[in-house]
Amino acid sequence: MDNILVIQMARMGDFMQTTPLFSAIKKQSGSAKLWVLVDKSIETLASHTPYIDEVLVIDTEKIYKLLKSRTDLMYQYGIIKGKFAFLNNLKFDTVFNLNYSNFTTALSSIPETGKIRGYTSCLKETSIGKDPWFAFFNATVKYPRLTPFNLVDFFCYLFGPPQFCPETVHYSVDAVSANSSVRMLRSENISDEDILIAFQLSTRHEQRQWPVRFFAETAQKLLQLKNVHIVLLGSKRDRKQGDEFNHHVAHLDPAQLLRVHDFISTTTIPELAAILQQSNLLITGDTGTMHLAAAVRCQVLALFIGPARVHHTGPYGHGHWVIQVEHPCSPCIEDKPVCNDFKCCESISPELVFSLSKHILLEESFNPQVLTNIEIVKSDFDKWGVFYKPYVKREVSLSDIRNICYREIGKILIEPDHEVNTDEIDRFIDMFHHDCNNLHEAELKSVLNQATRLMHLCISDPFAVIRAKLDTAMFFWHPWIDYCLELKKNRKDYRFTHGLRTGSKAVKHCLDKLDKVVKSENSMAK
Amino acid sequence: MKKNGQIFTENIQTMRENNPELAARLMYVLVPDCYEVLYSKNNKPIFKISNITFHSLYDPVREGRNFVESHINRQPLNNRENVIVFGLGFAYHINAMLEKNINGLIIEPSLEIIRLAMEHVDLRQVIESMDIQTNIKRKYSSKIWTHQPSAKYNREAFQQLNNADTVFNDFSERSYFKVKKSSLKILLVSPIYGGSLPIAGYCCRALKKLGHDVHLWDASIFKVPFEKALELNLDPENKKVLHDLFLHLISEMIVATCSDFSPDLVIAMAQAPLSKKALERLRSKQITTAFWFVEDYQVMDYWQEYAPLYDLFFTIQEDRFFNVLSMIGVQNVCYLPLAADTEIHRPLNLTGHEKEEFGSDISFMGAGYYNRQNLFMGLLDFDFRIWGSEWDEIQSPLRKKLQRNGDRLSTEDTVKVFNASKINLNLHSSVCHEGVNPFGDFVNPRTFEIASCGSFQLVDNRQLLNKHFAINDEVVCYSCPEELREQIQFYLRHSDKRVKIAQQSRERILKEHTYAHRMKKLLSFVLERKPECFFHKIDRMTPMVKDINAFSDEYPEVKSILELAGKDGIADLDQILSIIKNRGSTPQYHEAIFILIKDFHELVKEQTAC
Repeated sequence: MDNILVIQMARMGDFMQTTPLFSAIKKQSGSAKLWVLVDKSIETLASHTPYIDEVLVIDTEKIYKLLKSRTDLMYQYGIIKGKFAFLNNLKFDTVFNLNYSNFTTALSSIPETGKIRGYTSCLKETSIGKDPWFAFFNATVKYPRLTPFNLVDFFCYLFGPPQFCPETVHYSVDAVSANSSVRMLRSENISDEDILIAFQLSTRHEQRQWPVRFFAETAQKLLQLKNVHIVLLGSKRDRKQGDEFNHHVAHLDPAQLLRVHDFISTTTIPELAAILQQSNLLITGDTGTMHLAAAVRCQVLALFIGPARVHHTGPYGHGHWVIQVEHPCSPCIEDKPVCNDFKCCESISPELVFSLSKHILLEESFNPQVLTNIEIVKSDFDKWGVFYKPYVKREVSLSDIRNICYREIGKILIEPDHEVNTDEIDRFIDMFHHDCNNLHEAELKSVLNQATRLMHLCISDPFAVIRAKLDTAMFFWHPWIDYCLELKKNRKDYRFTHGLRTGSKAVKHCLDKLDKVVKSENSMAK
Repeated sequence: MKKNGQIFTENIQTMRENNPELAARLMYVLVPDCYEVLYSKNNKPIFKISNITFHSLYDPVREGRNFVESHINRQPLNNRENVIVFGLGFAYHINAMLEKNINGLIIEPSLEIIRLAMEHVDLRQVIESMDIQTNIKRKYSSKIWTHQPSAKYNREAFQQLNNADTVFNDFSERSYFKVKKSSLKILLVSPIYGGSLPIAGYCCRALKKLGHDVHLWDASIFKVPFEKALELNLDPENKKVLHDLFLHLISEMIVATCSDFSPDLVIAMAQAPLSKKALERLRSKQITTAFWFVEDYQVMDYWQEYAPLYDLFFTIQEDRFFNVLSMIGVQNVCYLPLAADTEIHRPLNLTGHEKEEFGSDISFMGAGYYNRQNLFMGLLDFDFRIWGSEWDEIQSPLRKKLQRNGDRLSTEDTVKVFNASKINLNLHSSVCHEGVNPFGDFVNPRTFEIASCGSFQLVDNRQLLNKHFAINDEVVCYSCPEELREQIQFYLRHSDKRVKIAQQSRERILKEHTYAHRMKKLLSFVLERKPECFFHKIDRMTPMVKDINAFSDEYPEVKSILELAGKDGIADLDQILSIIKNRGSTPQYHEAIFILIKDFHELVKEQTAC
């Protein structure tokens, strides 16, 4: 029986997005015993996650406090040696390290391990070593508008080619928490017939934050609907936003106010999950609560602002809705904002959220007028994982074609025998209008020419790849060049030319398809 | 009387019992050589740093008592009121306080001074009765008594102590361990071409011999493209653009090398391709830079722009140049004459063929400057050979004396010329004098190199020459053409005198004028003016090994790594991690532990910053 360890020391959202990997491992490797190493703050969550056989916990905060007390290295060595000795005694056939940090790469090297997947310790280099698949992930994630796969799928494919698509993140609500949540809701006079809408008011970073007053305005509108109850969720860190929300709704009719329930900092994580399970809709930013809601089949309406990208970390599951802010400067980089006022946070109007919520909950028609700087998408699946389909069709752009192209390139990295599947490309292209006002045929032809040039160059000139990175006109291929640079095989490497060939085929197909459609539309017009 | 070692042992023992952390830190502190210990008239140890004498030269004990009396008279103390004393010195004033049962806290920012005091005076009672701190941990409401010499020496710290708002932050900066490094990491930047190019190589060899880790950044590899680029367009405007772009590219490469190599010191030779922007960046990275300007400041004037950007500036001229540098704000200036590499410029046993090829009664090796062309016209009747370039355009009888059509000679052949010639002429170049420059001051490399070969030379009179050689015993000088002719005739007749003088000149070189001597002098000036280069600066918060042996005994798996890291007598987490990284393979368990500690340490830092 194989012993497999997954190291996921990040916070709640990242952990939830790792859960499909657990199911892939368990379902595809039969009798393997799955161990998961998490931070103490995630322990409860991990213990409620199916497919995990053993949860290993590191209390980083406690260790940090111990180390802080003395600067004697011998003392600190003793503390760490003692605290991590349990890992040194373990033996794993495979360790999956999902965190890009020296801390976890060091952790991954402690147990006796057959192989390490994901991020590896690579002391020869200044950077952390990467599995080829994660090298592809790192290369693409640097380009914020390029999102060939959702993070969940990126994690999943670390294990191997897809034999099935999990189509959900996982969490098991336990009976005690379920009962407890029911009691909590009953005590607030919420019945089964009521429509329960959960609000997660705050996000981790203010650049991702939809204004609390907008939440309050939305609540005010929703409370005009019969039987709607609003429940505020979150931890004690969200208290400030909770108080602000309460301040904004304080003027409401007392009868309406009775249907606002502030559960912030009053629930455990299992209770939070149970309440989400009881909720009809969660309105949230890009948060851990959102992923937990998706896991317990609570419908999500997420507001993705600032650095948040739906295609990268959108809610994983069928039929979730996301309003994505798309400013010319989006997405910005967290901690490196390009502005100070975060005006884009106000791009989504409470009216729009209200209308979309009504559509989701009551199936009322939803025909948004001209959307400025925002896009509404809904999640769907194909064999390769989740994708987000625009609710209002827009013109296809070069950025969309690039996503399609890199998704195809990614597929051949997962399955080297994969052939470009034109049906799958068509499905993506068909999500958009084909009249290419924004996308000139010449642009796509230029992209194809660039690929040919790169293929020739990389065979004849060792620095061709690096030079092409300096050419901004070649931006389409920069991520692929980065990938090969990550692998330190930037020339005459079969991967490079294979990727270019695959990508070119995908672009060529898009070009043909668009051309055909335009021609047929023209003849129809005649 | 107790020996210093015994005093220190007893003091440190008491310190371990009362303040173990400070005791551990003091174990690793080295007292700089410039801390001078003297004795007062009544035979009490006192000390002096940079012209500051810390105690009375007559009676430091009485001075200490007066210190206490005067403070009490100015500000009477309440019953058992504690005070804060700024400055430990040799604790005469502290002992006087203890005599009066006054206790409190001593703030002494310099670990070196504490260590010096621990080595020379019995501090046991002081350590037991008073708390000694090197940094301020809080704002104090107590009275502060100031030991004036300490305040004068540590002026900055003292001023900050009086500025209550900034006391804590600025003092925490001072709480570093300083441990002298066994070797420095030095990046030596050569010019693209020119006379200082070979000197860069000589300096590199000398520094390596002195045990330093030297990386020679050889800019001469850019000679061909650089010359090509400048040949492309004769328009001066374009030429300048090309020149600047080229300089910028090379400078960026040097800065990038600094990022990789992390030198303690960058030494740039004259004409080194380091742009002003690059020098500013090196300064912002707190990398110490030194420039050796081995040129005549009156002929080459680019020093005016560059000298202020270097931390240390070395010259082959003094006096007037020093004054001019001082006027543009360049402070750290040091006279560093040229020298010889005795392994390159050395006596040779020449074959008969070589003697024939390179030998003559008199010879000159060098470029055809105006004054040389002019002076040498008067020597045509001698068996005279001229070696070197830039003579070829002369339509004069000197052409007959020119060897190898005026091609540049390799260093090896130059050494053969020096060895094979009975008299080596040496005339410092000038473009305006008819012969000898009567105001010439610096001594050229040829003077040292001929001497280093054990060869005889007649050199034109230079103001600084007698600083380095005994005139007539080690080198013979001339001031005018007539004198030169006389000297030539005399020394051609007296070969024994030639040989003796030449031998003595070589001995002088070996004793005082090698590049190793120069590099030692350069580094001692760096130590004096930028001592931080020589010390490991260890953040107070960086976990460190307090006792390497105890650590190795407790955890044998770390022994080899601690031995490597602790070669300077101290090992901290960063040094250990650098060794692990250099090993370059998947970390073993004990190595992974150090990496984990580092990560937690980063957390601690973040939290502290918050």
